[in-house]
Amino acid sequence: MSHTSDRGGALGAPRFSLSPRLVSILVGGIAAVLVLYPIAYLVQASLSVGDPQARPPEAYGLDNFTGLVRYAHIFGNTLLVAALATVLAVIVGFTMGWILSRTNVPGRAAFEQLMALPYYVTPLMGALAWALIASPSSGFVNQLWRALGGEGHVVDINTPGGIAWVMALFEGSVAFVMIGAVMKSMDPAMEEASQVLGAGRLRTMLRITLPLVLPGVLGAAVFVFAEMLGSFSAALVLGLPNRFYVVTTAMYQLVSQYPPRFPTAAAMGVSLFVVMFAMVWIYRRIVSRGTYATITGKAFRPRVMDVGGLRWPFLAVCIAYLAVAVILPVLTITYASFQHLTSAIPRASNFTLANYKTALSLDAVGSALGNSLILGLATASIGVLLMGFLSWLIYRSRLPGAGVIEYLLMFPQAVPRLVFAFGMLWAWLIFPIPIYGTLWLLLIAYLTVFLPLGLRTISGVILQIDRSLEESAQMCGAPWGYRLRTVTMPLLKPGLIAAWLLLFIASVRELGASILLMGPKAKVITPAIVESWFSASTELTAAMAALQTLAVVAALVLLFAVARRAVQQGGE
Amino acid sequence: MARASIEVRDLVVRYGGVVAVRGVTFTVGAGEHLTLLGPSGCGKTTTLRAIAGLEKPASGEITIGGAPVFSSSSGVNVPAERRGLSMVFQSYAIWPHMSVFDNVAYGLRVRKRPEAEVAAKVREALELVQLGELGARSASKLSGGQQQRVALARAFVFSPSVLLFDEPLSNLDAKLRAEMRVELKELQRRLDITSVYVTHDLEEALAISDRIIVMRDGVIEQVGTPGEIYDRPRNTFVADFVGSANLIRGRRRPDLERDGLLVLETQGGALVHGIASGRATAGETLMAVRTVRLKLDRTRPASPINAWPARIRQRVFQGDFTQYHVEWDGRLLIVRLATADPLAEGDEVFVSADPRYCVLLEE
Repeated sequence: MSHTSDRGGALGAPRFSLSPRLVSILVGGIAAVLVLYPIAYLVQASLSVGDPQARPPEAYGLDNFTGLVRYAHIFGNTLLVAALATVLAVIVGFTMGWILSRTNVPGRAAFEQLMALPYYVTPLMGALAWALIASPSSGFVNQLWRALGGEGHVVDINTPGGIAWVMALFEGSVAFVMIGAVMKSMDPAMEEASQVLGAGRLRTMLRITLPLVLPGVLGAAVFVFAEMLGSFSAALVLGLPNRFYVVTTAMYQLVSQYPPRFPTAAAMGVSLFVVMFAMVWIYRRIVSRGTYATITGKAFRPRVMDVGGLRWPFLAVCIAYLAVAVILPVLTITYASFQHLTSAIPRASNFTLANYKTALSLDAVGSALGNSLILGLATASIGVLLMGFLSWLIYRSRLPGAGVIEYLLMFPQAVPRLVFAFGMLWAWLIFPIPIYGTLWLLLIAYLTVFLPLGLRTISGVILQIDRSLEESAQMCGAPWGYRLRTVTMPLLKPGLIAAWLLLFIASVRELGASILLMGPKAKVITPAIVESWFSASTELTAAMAALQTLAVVAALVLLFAVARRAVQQGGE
Repeated sequence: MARASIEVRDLVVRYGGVVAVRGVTFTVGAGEHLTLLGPSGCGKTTTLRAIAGLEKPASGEITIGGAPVFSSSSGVNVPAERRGLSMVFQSYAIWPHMSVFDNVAYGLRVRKRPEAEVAAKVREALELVQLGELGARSASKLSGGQQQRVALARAFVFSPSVLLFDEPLSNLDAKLRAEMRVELKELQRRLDITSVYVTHDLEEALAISDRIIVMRDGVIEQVGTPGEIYDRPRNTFVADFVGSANLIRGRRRPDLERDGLLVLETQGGALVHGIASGRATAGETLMAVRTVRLKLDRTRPASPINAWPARIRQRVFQGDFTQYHVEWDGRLLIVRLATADPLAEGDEVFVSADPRYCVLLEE
């Protein structure tokens, strides 16, 4: 009756197997090193007070931080831009969230899907497009103004307000997702109870609805503000012509000038990191305390208010946002890419394909685009495996210390990618294996900075999968590898595919980390676009941006075509 | 051999700082159907999961079919998938990405049985749970009751030595639950397998168990057959948890006790005859009598003992029975009667109880 040995034989399970615990510790450890190694070097560099070029530092002290006083105006700029952009983005997010989740505006479902688009336009595309539209000298709007007999310019995008505008258009869709979720998760019975007890619509709105969604709105505001503090590309494209710096662009300037001033840049990075970390912490507190009360996990149909004739103005608001955030930028870039010399007034003689010819013939563009696509593939594929495993490790394995690992891996969220890349630059320069200046370094960088993105996407799905689904496989006698393959992975498939796509797109269009870590012989496309913007023609840059977008779309279409059959077969 | 006995000795399970199970010892005979019964948080599910191997105990020993699967003293901890058990989960845990057939076949395929045997056994199992036609259907398109049946079939199809049930019926509506209870009992009989069942539902426990273990706060309160648990609760907790009972406080009167019956004198002076059921207490003590074991009559019953005049204060019609709140001995007794002849509020009646159902409690 030695039934255990019976069972082992019946299973035919291998006698030795890698203990899940060991693998977990290994992978968790690698991820922790990926995150902590650069941060440690960032902090080290910020404390170096000897010769700024010396590695390791000759002496340690706080002089770099006290020296930041000279850059107070840059911190002021950063706060100004971030605050302006946050207010704008939250207004956009709240308005759109309310219209699309609580009113009977026509085409709600379609608009909700479309609200993801601004996110994919990216701040860089937005900044390039809006520079074309509204730069003081050659912006389309100002060209038209002068053509109509006006003097000077009516709009100027190269201002703090302009930078905030571009960032808010992009971040508005993030705010929308966060605020919309809160509005949707609110039990309509809470409002109905108020009305049944005799309160009017306005009173209900003020006394019930608003207080209930306020924590969610506040949380979104703090989150957006933290992201804005660390944003880079819009401030670079729109601020540099006027020498208007925010912390990230100032750091970039300090590092790329000659001689580079690493310690000062590091001190700036650490300061920014500390502020953003506090912001993310505040955000977590707000979210975990306030909004959860309204989220009961029960599914209810959010009550939609009949707003009568107001539906049409609301529809106009939705269209207007998508127009300025998506349609206008995309059209502008496309238009400019086909022009000899960009002009607001189209002339047949001005249209050309020369920009595309030039772009494609430039070796820099061809190889950069190729490199980016290869990196995107590698980052997404390795990332999905790594992050899928890490999500499982954090939320499922019950490994002691899983909570600590989660905190660690979410670190990059509180660190602007540029700051993180700076730590990596410093760290990997002295790494014994020479990967500096190669695509390998970029791969490591992408895998690290996109950890929070991948983890959030995958863990969202993992948390929806009841633990007992895996346990029942275990009770059927399946060893952990078999379980992972037959139950966990297939259940995670939608999340894994979504994460793969996000990682791919994000990698191909990454700027903040790439611009610092890219080597002269291993270029990638986004920094190449920025380079072209500052040193070559506007039209060529537009063509490159269009090519990048096309390449991403083409790659995705191709991949889907290949994967579709497999997915369908795997499905049902 | 499909049936295995289980031995649990001094089991302690901790969650962080909380001790969920504090030193539990019991055995399950080969082929026996044992139920762990108790309110939520009593440690019953944790105990079950420790047997399954899904929870690592802090200390103690668990033996299945004579072979230790966990022992803190000798450091044995056989992983769940090697214990040869099977389990039906509260959430059913049906895999939505597989067909009904693939769900049920899982345990057989893990064991690398030939596909022909898999097909035959799965069909047989689905027949047994009355889902013969549904094999090809996607598991995500099943009703709650159907999912429950798939979960059952999946759990027993590979002939495990023990079946564990974690509140399998708690997600069904009341009517379906009553039906499934009967079916489950029939299935247990046909499979002839050792089973450990966890529930907080008394009726379920009474219906399907050979033996019941009542738990509270991580310890065992009472072990016994359904009849024993119901009619002879050991203490106020069991009396209260296992259906409704009237508690009667009084002082022992050893001078009046004979024929193996003991006598309690209440504050109001009523003499209540009952049984000790092996429990020894003296002085002030408590007795329990189930609400359905009390009788109400318009005339004085023939029995000279345990019959007292009383008055009906309130009547609550509940369908299957009528609940009367009866003034007796300066307090209210609750009596549940299934008789059709209703007594009116304010009626003077006699309340009586068979001494066999008046049970002394340990406090």
